[in-house]
This record gives sequence, C-alpha cells and structure tokens, in this order.
Amino acid sequence: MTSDAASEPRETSIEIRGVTHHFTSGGRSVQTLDDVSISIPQGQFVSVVGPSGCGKTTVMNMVAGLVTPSSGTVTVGGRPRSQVGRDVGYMFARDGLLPWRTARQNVELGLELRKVRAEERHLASSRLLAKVGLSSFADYYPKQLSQGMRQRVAVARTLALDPDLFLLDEPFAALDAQTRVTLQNEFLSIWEGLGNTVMFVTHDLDEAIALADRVIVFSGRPGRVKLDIPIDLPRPRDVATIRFDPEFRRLSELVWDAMEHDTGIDESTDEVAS
Amino acid sequence: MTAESTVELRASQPTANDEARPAPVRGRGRWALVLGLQLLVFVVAVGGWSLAVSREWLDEFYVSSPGLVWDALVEYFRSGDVWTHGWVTLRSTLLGFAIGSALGVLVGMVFARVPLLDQVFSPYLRAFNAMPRVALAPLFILWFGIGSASKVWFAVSLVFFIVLINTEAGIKSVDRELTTTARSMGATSQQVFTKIVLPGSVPTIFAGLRLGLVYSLLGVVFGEMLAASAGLGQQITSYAGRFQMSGVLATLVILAAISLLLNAFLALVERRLLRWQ
Repeated sequence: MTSDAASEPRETSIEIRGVTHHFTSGGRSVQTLDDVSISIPQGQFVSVVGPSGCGKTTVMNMVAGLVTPSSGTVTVGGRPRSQVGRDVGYMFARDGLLPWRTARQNVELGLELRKVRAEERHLASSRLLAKVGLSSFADYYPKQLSQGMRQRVAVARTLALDPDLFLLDEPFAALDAQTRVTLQNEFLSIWEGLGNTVMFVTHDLDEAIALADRVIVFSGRPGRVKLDIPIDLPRPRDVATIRFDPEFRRLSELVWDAMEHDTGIDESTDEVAS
Repeated sequence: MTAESTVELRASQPTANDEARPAPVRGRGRWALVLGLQLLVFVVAVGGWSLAVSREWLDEFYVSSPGLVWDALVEYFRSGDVWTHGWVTLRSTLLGFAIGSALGVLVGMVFARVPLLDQVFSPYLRAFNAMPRVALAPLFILWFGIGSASKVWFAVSLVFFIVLINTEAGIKSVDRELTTTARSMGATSQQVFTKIVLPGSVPTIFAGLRLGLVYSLLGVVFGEMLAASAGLGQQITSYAGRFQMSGVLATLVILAAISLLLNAFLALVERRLLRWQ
C-alpha cells in the first residue's frame, strides 16, 4: 500500500438516507429508487442483490460520487458525496485493461494518474502482481492472458490505489465457474487482511451470501430495500465449500424467498412511477 | 473459452494461442517454397519479355527489353541522376507526408475534443474529400511554381484528409469501458485523452499513415510529371518525350524501390508501436 493511506486509516462508513432517483426517458420520468436507506459500518462487506433494473448499480454509483440522488443524502465517512471520490476502488465485470499496456503497466495506471514516481510504481506493481499470483506474467499483454488472469490484473490495479472503499459491480460475472471460485477466494483472503468497507453488487445469490457479512435484497423498479439480513458465517471462508453449510442453506432460502416474489415488474411499479 | 482452460492450465501455457499456428518447421518449409515460386515467376516474366523482344514478337521501341532497362539503371547510378532526381522526389514525398499527417492527426484530435467544430466543418471537408483531388494539381503549380513547393503542398492536400479521417475514426473506436475505468480511478479529462484515447486510436491512425505515404509519393510524382525542373516524375515525362522506353521503365523501377523502402520503414515503426496487438 502507498504509505500515506496506511498511516491515516480513513473512515468509510456509508450512510444512505431517504434516497430516491429519477431519470427522464422519452419525456417520461422513470423512478429507479424509492426511499432507500442503508447504513454500512466501517469494514463491513455488504452484498446488494436484486432483479435487473432495480437500481442497485445506481446506488453504488451514488456512493462512488458518479451519480447524484434526486432526493436524500449519501455520505461516506460523514462527508457528503459531491464528486468522484479518490478513496474508491471500482471494479466491473469486464476487466477494462488497456490492451497496449502490459500487466505491470496496467497495474501501475492509477499510480501514474496520481503522478507517483516510477521506482515507487514499480515496487507497488511487483508486490501486487505477486499478491495475485502473476509475478511471472508482469510483461505479458492482456491479449496473452486468460480471462481469469486478466481479472486478477484488474484486482491488482484496484488494490494499487489503496482504496478505503471497494465498490464491486459483478466483478466475477464474466468468468467460468471454476475460475470464479478461485478468484472469489483470492479476493476474500486479500480483503480479510485489509478490512476495508466493501459494497458488492451481484445477481448471483450464492455469491452474495458466500462473500458478505450482510446481504441486502432490492425489490424491482423502483428499487426499495426488501430484505436486509446479516450473514453470520464464520471467517475465513472457503467459497467452494461454504455452500454446503446448513446455515448457508437457511440464508439462501431466505434470500431466494425474498427474490421469488419479484420479477422486476409488479403493479406497484406503475403506481409509483406515474 | 471452455471449461478445461482453468487458470492453472493457462498459467503453465501462457501462449496457448500458438497452438493454432502451424508448427515452425512446416512454416519454414512453406516459406522457402513460396520464395522459390516467387523467384520462378520473376525469371519466367523477365525471360519471356527478353525472348519476346529478341524474336521480335514485341517491338523493342515500345516495350524496351530487360537488358536495355538494366543498362539505363546502371547509367542512372553512374551519372548520379538517381541521387539528384531521387532525392528531390524523396524529400518532397517525406515533407508532404510529414506535414500532411501532422496536420491530419492534429485537426482530427481537435475535432474529437470539440464536436461543434467537427459538425461545422464536416460537410465542407467531406465535399472536398469527395473531389478527385488530382484535378487540383495544376492549381498548386500555379500557386507555388514549378519548384518542389508545389509538389509538397499537393501531397499535403492528399495526405491530410486520409489521416484526418482515420484519426477521427480511431478516436471514436476507443472502447468506452476503458475511459470509464480511467475516470473511476480519478483521471482528469486531459489524462483520459493522453493515456487512453490517444494510444487506443494508434492502430487506426497508422492505417491512415500507411495509405497517406503511398498517396504522398503519388502526389509528388504526378506533380513532377505535370511541371517540374527535377525529380523522378519529371524524368519519366522527359524520357517518354524522347521515346526512351528503357529510361521510363528504369525510373519506374527506382520509384517502386523507393516506395517499398518507405513502406518497410513505416511497417518497422508500426511493429514497434503496436507490439501489443
């Protein structure tokens, strides 16, 4: 980690209070979020699930500072979000690696944007590539790497910025089942050593439960918090085996139940939207 | 991507793509075969030409002969004409190419950053580009005289549009996902442009540069043929005017060599810059 962040651990508890969001489409106002309030304490790993279009990504973009709520407030560490926060590590389903940069150069991108000196960047990228098990692939171009390896490079690139807060938008969705479990476990063990606040958006319920301290289920559009349950499974966890734990199955049933009655379109949607 | 391609498997075989290519030994054998056949084609063509002239199936006055072209080439080098005229043509080509592509890349980038300018100018540029611009060559001769300036600016007018269009297309082709990623990492719009958009559009810009180089030489030679005091194009007109077929053909051989050299140089630069592809 870069030294400055390590010396002053920053408060990244998230407070989302009474947030609604509308956007205009073809002259009609569409409501995506309805009175959403979530409070995430420092260091918690929260998964957000819900049908597509429920606004879960919108909430995350608000926390990142990329989207402003129509009403309500979003604060991170007590400070309101007005612009893109530099304390945020964002990851998407697609790795977003620059094809003309080697794995190492991709990991160093964020540090380069922050004008970190070359020797320092090199040290950081070496350490992070080792962390994701790609030391011997530092000089490979993304095209020469498998999908799983590319996503690992993306993880290393995110870690390079030493973010206080991880915002992950289905980061493992594009991977095949085996690689996904490997990467989920790797990410968990990295996170367990860091203890940062994590907001993890996914549509994979098992993934949501296996990784998180807490699962929040959104209803269909407009998104509302439908279920908010703690996941009291022991850590450190193994994503591959935890699904056979009876407690995991009990939680899984609960979450499935909440999702089942929601296909993303129900009568109340039109009522609120009009 | 199939299930068997787990990370571990891939990790031990990072260049799994190579499996798709033919084995290197077979590749080398094939390469020798192709080269041999290429030489054969050359020998047959030149031999047939020589034979046709010596048997008087073709009139030497119109088609010359390999021997005479060779003599003309030797004379070109002995007299030093190849350097004086070749240099004039090469210098104009490189200047026209450099100015035209620099302007093309620059204007293309400005247009990409300021869409209003793009919208205002694009109908005019499109109309100008649609024109058969060789027809403008006489104007350039009138404006800039029969010296090399007229050839350079004529070449610039050809290269500029090709490179401009490719630069714009290249910038538009850059993946939105990559710019979003950079923004989420706190990149300023200046940084997004220099770190993401610019390198991302290099492949398309290079396609334009390659074409631009060909057009630059074409423009210069055409301009020299029209009115000039020196240059390989002027030599062609001069030899043709004196019915010296061998001189015309020898000049064409030199032009082809120049063109191939320029292209090889650009390909070398491209390979270095686009190693990641």
